[in-house]
Amino acid sequence: MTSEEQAALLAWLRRPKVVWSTVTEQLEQTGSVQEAAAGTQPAQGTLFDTAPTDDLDQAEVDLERWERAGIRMVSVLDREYPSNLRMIHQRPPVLFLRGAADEHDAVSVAVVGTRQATPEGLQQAAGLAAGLAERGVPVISGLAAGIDAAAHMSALSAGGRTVAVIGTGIDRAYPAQNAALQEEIARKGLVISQFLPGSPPTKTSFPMRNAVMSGYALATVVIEAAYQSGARMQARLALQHGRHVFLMRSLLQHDWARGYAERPGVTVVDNASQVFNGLQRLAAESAESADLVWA
Amino acid sequence: MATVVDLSEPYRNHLIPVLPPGRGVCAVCWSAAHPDFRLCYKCNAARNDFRQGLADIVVPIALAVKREQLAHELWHYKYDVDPSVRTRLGNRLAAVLWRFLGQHEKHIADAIGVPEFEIVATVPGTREREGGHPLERIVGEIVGPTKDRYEPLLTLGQGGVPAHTLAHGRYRATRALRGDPAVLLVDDTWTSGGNAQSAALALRAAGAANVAVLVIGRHFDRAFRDCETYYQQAKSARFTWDSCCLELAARDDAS
Repeated sequence: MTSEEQAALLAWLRRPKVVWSTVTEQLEQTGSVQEAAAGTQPAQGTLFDTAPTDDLDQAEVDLERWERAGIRMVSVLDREYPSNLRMIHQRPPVLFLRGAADEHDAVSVAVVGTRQATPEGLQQAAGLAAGLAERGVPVISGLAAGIDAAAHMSALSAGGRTVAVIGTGIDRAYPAQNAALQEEIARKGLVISQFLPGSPPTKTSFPMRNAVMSGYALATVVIEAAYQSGARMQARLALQHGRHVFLMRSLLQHDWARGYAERPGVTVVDNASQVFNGLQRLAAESAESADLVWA
Repeated sequence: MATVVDLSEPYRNHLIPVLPPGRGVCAVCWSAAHPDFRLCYKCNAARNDFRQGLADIVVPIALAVKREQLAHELWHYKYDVDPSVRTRLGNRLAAVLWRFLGQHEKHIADAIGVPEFEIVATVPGTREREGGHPLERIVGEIVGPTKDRYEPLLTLGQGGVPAHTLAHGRYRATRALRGDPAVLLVDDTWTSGGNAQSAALALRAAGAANVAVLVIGRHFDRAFRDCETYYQQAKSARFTWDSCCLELAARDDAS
């Protein structure tokens, strides 16, 4: 996508009342920002007028400023948009990225859990993330307090790759105490946000972020999560995406987890080794070249 | 290596079955119909325009609800800009088709009183593409129960009939079908039925005695009239590979 198209897309997304899922569909169906915008209210006509409008100018300025800060925007029309995420219906039209993309993320695991983690939960998260990182599996998480932060830090300590999918604009840190960790992940791994830079955390942004995290990783493992937790929601979203969910055995104390454990595409696990083995099987069956046999 | 069972099993988490025939359900395409009518608007119009030659039966595996996962997959396996996404989704949808046919093809044949389907065909795509339509790859090369019976029997007709229009001549058969065969006609999505029913007309014209249409997804727009009530009912009915809509319909008839 050219810088002009990027600016047009950004200006389009910033307009009031624009439904982002419709933008995604229009981009995919037409294959170009220009055609997509031309066919859609309220963007109609104005984005590509010969005289640039104020919002186009502003978009260009912002994209350049972000680029200087190491932030890039990729859209569903770009090759860099992650393949795993393309496969789910909740893919956002654009992602803002800081850090390096890596093809190994195609076989990665999202490690998620509650913000109000117990010491045992934090230990489990750290142990699992380290075990995956040591086996070369990128650890994806949401950079929230509690389980998420423990998973990221442990993956980094083990010398592994970690990716943070955050629920705010990429230039913000939430909670503030994870700002340094976010910087480190941007330097050594990748930070992803589906929200416009500057966006504050909202009630809806975290569930939306969970959907993207589920889509980015090949599978989700839930460490510790009560019924109302965002981590449980990610398990639900992952199953709706057709993705595999691993539940730590200790979750079976909860009714919701016992119910989920009965569902197809869910495995109860005790350790990183079991997640790794399950992931190898999932990677093999989701490979492009996989031969299909009945059973 | 991937198994049909492993790849298709997780679909139970998000597939939504069509409702069994009855009030508010179209007796042809299984989608929402006005409660006072047996057929939905499109199927009724098709029946009025073409008394003969339409498919004997239409069987959807599940609802393809607009903006939900199955509808997403049914579009992206054909059109995603990333070829690996097209292939991976194609493999998964192949497993869905294989699983369904492995367990339920006999029920389709029974429902129209034929011992078996001698030929399997697909509805040609609406866009030209290099390397053929991905559904042809799925039905003709991957899916065990269909690949040996698959034949690329249909091509676009010469008449320039617009896509999705139900008409004679929209497709034509590449050869005459002798011996009154029963044809299983596979398509990915049924929206108005214009494509699949036009294909059925062409197969009949070529000599098919019976045509059964199997579609992976029955397109469904919740915002459309009569649809939300149907959607809520369908969603509360759990999808299972163990019974198909025809079995449920037969069960309802018996009770």
